[in-house]
Amino acid sequence: MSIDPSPIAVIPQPVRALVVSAARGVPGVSTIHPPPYSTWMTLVGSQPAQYEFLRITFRGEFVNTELDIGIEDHSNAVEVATAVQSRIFDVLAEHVPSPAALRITVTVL
Amino acid sequence: MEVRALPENPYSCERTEDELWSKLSEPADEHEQGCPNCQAQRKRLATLSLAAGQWSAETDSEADEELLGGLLDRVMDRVRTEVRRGVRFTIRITPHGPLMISGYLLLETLRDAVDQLPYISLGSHKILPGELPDTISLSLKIAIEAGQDGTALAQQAREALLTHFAERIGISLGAIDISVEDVIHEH
Repeated sequence: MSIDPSPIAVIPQPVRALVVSAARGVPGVSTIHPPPYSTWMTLVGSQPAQYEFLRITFRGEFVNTELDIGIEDHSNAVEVATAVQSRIFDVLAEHVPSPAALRITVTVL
Repeated sequence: MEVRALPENPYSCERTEDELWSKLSEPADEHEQGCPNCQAQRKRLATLSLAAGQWSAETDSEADEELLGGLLDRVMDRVRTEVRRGVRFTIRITPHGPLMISGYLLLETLRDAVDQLPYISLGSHKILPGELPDTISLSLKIAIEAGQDGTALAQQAREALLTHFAERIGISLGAIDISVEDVIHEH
């Protein structure tokens, strides 16, 4: 029996926060959208930490990461999303044992 | 059963509490200076006015306004984000993974393209996955002004959509189905 590794063990929180910060700096990105988060959590004043914006799940050998972004007016959605995806890969590739297992989903909301 | 009359209020006078309250910020007039009832009422109301002022100052403080304003902004941001998360379309799959666009943004782009055209009013419209990879299809109904060439306007709309989606989204469109469903007569 195999046990899936913990996301924190594979991609530590500081690295996830670094990824979010790097994505925020890509030209054309207006905002990084927070993860699906309970409105009640918002009402009680809780806010997701920066690292939580990059969502991570494991499926088999693949490390799936997801980030939702907003783009500036007059920006090209696919160009910006492609740049964000490349930036995320560059940062994560330095910190994961197998970059080929990375799967990065970028959604322009 | 014996019924006793209540003792007469030694401080009673004809001035009501409302009258005293409305003039509380002013100095006591001649009657109030000589009336024990009015003096007692003014003293009691002054304490109430002071407490109300303090409470008002606390609740109207800038810190509270910022806190409530920030909370409202955060909640509304969250609501808007969840609305945009509704339907997503996979636009491209790169070696690193899929790129997706929310249906909300695609519909917004469609509306922007058509709304700028003269003689056309956009009706119901929707986005569909394209039959070819990396494409989407559009289906829209329009109303045109009377006396206009429907075929030419539909062609204009098609060209505007192709341009807008190429510039704003960066994708090719598959089928663009346009139905002229109504003619608008200006009165």
